[in-house]
Amino acid sequence: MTDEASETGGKSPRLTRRGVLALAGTSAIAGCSSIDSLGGGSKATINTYNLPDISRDEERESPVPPSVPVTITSGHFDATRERVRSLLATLPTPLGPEEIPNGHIRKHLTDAASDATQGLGDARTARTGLMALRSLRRARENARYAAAGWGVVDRGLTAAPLRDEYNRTVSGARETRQEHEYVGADPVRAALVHARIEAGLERATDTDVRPREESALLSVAEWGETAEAAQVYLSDARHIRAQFTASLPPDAGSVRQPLTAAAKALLADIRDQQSTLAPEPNTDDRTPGRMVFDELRREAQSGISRLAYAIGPASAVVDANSQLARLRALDRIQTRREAEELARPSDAKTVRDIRQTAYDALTAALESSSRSALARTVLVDAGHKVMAADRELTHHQGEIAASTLDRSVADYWYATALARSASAATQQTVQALEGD
Amino acid sequence: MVPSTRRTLLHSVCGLATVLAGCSGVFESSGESTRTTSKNNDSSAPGTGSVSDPDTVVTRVDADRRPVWLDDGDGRPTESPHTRRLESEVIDTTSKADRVTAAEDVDRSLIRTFLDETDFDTETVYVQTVMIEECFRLTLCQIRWTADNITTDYGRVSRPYDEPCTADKEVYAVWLIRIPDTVNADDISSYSSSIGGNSCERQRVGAEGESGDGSEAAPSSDRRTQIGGEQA
Repeated sequence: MTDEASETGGKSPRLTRRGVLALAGTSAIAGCSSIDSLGGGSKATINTYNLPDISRDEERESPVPPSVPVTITSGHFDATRERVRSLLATLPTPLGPEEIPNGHIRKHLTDAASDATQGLGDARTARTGLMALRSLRRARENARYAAAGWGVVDRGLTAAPLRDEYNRTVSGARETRQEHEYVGADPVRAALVHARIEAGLERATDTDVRPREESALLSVAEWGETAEAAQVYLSDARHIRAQFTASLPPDAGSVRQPLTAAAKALLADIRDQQSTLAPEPNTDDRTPGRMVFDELRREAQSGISRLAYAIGPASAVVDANSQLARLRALDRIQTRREAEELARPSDAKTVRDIRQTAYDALTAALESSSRSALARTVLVDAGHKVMAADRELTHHQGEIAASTLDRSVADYWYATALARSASAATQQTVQALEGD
Repeated sequence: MVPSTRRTLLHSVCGLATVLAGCSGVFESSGESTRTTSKNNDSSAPGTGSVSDPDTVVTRVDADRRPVWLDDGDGRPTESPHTRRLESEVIDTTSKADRVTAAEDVDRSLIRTFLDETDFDTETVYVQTVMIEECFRLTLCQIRWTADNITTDYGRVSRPYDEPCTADKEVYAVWLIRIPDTVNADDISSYSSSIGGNSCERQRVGAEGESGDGSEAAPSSDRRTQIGGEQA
């Protein structure tokens, strides 16, 4: 079944033998309960044994990894890996109590070194080039954290040169940003690539840096990490820009104007829709249907509504696309609530169906969208919801109240509605970009 | 960016303010030079006040049960999985002070001297026992009291990198804090304690801690201060 079908029903929840026994035991202890009273409503229970079999130990990843329509060169990856290795090579082996007697501080450095090594491995198995870049960025940050922390012990390193290095990188990133030209041919691809560049340069110039005072050594380590992070963001943004530019035909011109015009048009539509949002329900019911409605409504209200609030025209377009998808998702959820289709599931099979529906919606949306790279940005968010819902499901054991699963159910519904809204929203965005 | 695990750990070990027993660290000394008593000032009601740098004795002990306790004839409290992470006692009379008992591995003379030097006609001793992580140090930023409540605020920093300690290991820290006022223990209905994620050096000059270049400042030589346990 799909989650479009009514899940309210008057049927009693399907009980497993294990569930009946467990509940019977409870009844015996309580001395006054009746097994017959278990069906439906807020008192329904679900045996987690019958829920989807999701491994608890598994490092969960979003089913839709983010990507950028640019080829990252192996040379860029290799240079980053080499940087990580050279930073890690500055550490003594082993880094033990003789080198750093304070176990807490030592653990931070060894954990960071271990995470850096892990990041190198993650990059090799990353599903997209962008994911590989992220893994390697974290690897570099961690390696620098460990190296800078050890530098305090080894050679009296202080935060001052690291702050200077960071400030130089920030200046470089600002210059890069000012000089940035919005070259492109296909405005959709250009929007996606330039949005990544804008985001990278924004992060590289993020001056809200406040290392903690917990430890002087760890503070220096954090400055090292911060300086490295800014470098990586800037380096990756420049590489993406260079690769993108190299992939364009010689006559490619500026797409700033179509990006800006599309962003303005889309945001104007978003403002209109925000002004006519469905009112907040007066009732104070806490059901999964209400939870997903409230969350989408809140997000639809709080997203950017003016170009000036965006970090750049390309990001404004991509953000607007996500916003439009959320507004459509909100409509879907509202319609389903009014049709009373979003009642709390009272048996495990319905929960399994709701989850499967979310996965199916994601798959269908990925396959059907003609502009999947842009739709994908919405589906990445929907995928995160599914991932969060899956993770939440693994936290429960035994016979539990059906309401315990509200958060997961709400997230599956959210993901389903968002995935099914991605294509239409993307069509609207593409039309705006292409001036149709 | 620090990976979520490490950063989360840092913040979760001790957030911006942790009430009561939610977080702990290694207690250290407080000096006397910057004492700023504001008890019974114009803005305070009678019997209320605060001190940012009270007289204290601090001891830190690696033990499996409370090293300092109020003897009620039952002997030293036994180890229990339900042991509270923070215990508070108000010592408001000489006879109650006589019941304060310390284990053998605690410098009893310092505690006894501190109690003996207290004038219970005008002063009170507040005893806080906390389970704290060995690699951390707390500084007392302030103690406040009203007729029915006592509040302590601590700052928390890591101990210097060259001091041996084991990550995640916990020890007992016992603070004896002299309140320059009479506080009736029977009237106290609640205790509260917060632990800031940073040192309280910004609030209070003279707190010890790591200096900015990574070298270490010497612990206070205040005669009233004992740095006990594994550092003794």
